[in-house]
Amino acid sequence: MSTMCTVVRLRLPGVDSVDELGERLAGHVGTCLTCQAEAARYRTLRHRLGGLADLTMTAPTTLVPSVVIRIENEDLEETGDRRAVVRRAAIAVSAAAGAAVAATAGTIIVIGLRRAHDAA
Amino acid sequence: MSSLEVERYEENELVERAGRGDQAAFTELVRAHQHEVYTLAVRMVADRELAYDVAQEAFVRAWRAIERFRGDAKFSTWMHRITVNTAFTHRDRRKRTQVDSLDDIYREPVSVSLSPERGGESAAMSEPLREALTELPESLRAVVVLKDVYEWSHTEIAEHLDISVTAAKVRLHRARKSLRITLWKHQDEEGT
Repeated sequence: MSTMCTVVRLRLPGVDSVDELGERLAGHVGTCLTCQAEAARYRTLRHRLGGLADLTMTAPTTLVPSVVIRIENEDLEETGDRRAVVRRAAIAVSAAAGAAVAATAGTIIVIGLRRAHDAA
Repeated sequence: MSSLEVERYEENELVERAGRGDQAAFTELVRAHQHEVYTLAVRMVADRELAYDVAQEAFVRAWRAIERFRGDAKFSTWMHRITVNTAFTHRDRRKRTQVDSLDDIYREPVSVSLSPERGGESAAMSEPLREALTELPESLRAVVVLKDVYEWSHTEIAEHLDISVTAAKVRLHRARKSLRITLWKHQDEEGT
């Protein structure tokens, strides 16, 4: 392998075509079978990588609905319908308050029953 | 009008409606581009779960910015840029919180759809290449994927990966050299 071959090998990974190597090196490739073979490998590699552009993986089926939910929530919270956000928050608060009231009432009833039981 | 022009026209219409706040139109765009955005995310982060988060976040960012989308580029090109930026934000966040665990995502069976003109040839050739890509360090893989798969320029790559143009060229050089060695290893050994 000549010095020219070594230089061509060093530079081939960084170019998209042999012409980019410059006149002298490209001329050498034109006459050297070893360098032509090496240039062909890089050409094949770029061709195969380009082919990957047509291979598409299928996205999980939940992707679209998850995006829709996020943008709906964003819109409610950031841009517009403050009333809807307040309504949602109010529902959550009332549910929590309702649960708390029920728990307190339950406790009072249990205490009342115990006292009645103790008094009896 | 050719079918491509019709598609482009319909897409422009959807983009315009989405820009005016039409969620249904934006949902159509998400539906149309979900697979390519997810695929790019997987190629960038090499982790399906993370890619799912990246794709979701990329679409949400697109929704926030779509009223400023001027239509100079195609919607898909614009989405690719957002996806790459989002992938790098997520990657940096993950690096801060945990040790990288790149799985063998390219070895997993994937559902593929091929354009008719490139057909089975690409499918048959792509497996060893996907294997070789998994073996590349993330920083090299990102550059070679963006340059040789998605045909980005060095300048675009440098800008989006926050590196210099020289660094982008050096990484591309290393990545291609490494792929070439891996893919023709057996041939080289026979020759020596």
